[in-house]
Amino acid sequence: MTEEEIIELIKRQEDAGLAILAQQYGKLLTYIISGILKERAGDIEECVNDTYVKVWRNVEKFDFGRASLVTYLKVIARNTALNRLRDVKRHEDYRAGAEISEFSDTVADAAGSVENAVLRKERARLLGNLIRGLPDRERELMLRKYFYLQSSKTIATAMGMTVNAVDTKLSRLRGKMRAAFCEAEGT
Amino acid sequence: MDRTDEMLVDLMGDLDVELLADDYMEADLKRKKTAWLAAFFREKSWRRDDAVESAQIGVQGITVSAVETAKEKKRPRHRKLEHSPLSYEWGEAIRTDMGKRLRNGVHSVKRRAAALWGFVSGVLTMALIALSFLALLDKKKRAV
Repeated sequence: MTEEEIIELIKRQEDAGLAILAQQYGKLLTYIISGILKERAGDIEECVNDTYVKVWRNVEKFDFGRASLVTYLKVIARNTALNRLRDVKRHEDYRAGAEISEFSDTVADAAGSVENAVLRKERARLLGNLIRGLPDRERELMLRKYFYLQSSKTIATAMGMTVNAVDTKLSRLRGKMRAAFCEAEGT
Repeated sequence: MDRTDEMLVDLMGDLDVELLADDYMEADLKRKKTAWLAAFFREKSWRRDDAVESAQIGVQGITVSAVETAKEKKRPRHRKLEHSPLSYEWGEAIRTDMGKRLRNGVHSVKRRAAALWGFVSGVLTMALIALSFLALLDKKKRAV
């Protein structure tokens, strides 16, 4: 079944659309989410289901002229899994009696303040421009590492590189990004 | 993870969807399937007649342990799900169903052949003993 037909089914709120979505993209979403949540099997399954539900509820908001259904699915799956990972880690930190990580604080602050939201949007735009300007392989490296949160080993296997080469290249790219952000923010 | 890493991970969620129209993950899945097939044919574990193999498939990982005959050393092999292309359902179906049936079939034929050979050799031995006994009796009769 084509993407357009699936979208039509979901827009008409027909259950078959969801079933076909699961059948056609279930493995892909499980793969993406399991790369982020690692071996938390229960959470992986829940995130996959949450992804379907989010697509089901927000299908009208998607602009399929800009990106395909599978792209939206991947973005939703990644963000859902990342949010779940943060929740799980926060919960684990709390249970272990440790302080909540600095990163979680940053995220909580970012979500809570309008000023931070504007800053965040600006940074995302800048990052988008930086990524757009990268050569294909470097862009793939960045997306695999920071969007799909793949390990250096997985990236190395997928891209036919050594783990060291991946880490070195990523380190350089990170430096480049850091410099660009500092320059843009005048620090 | 340093702060730049964290920031990049965080900001990637807000990237323009047009930038994310890649197919890296699909390519990974295809590659894993191919790798699985290659591993499946290379492994040949289901063809080994003298080995009893059990596969324990869990949600979090796959542990394949092989208990081999006295000639070979006991050698358990552990594989994690993420590293093993054996996690595909269709692959599992081939491995656990077709492979098992084939192996069981071979075992069954060998077992039957062994049973038949045992029976035939038993009958022959008994016949030989009976003939020897009869020959002895006959010799005794002639002597009398």
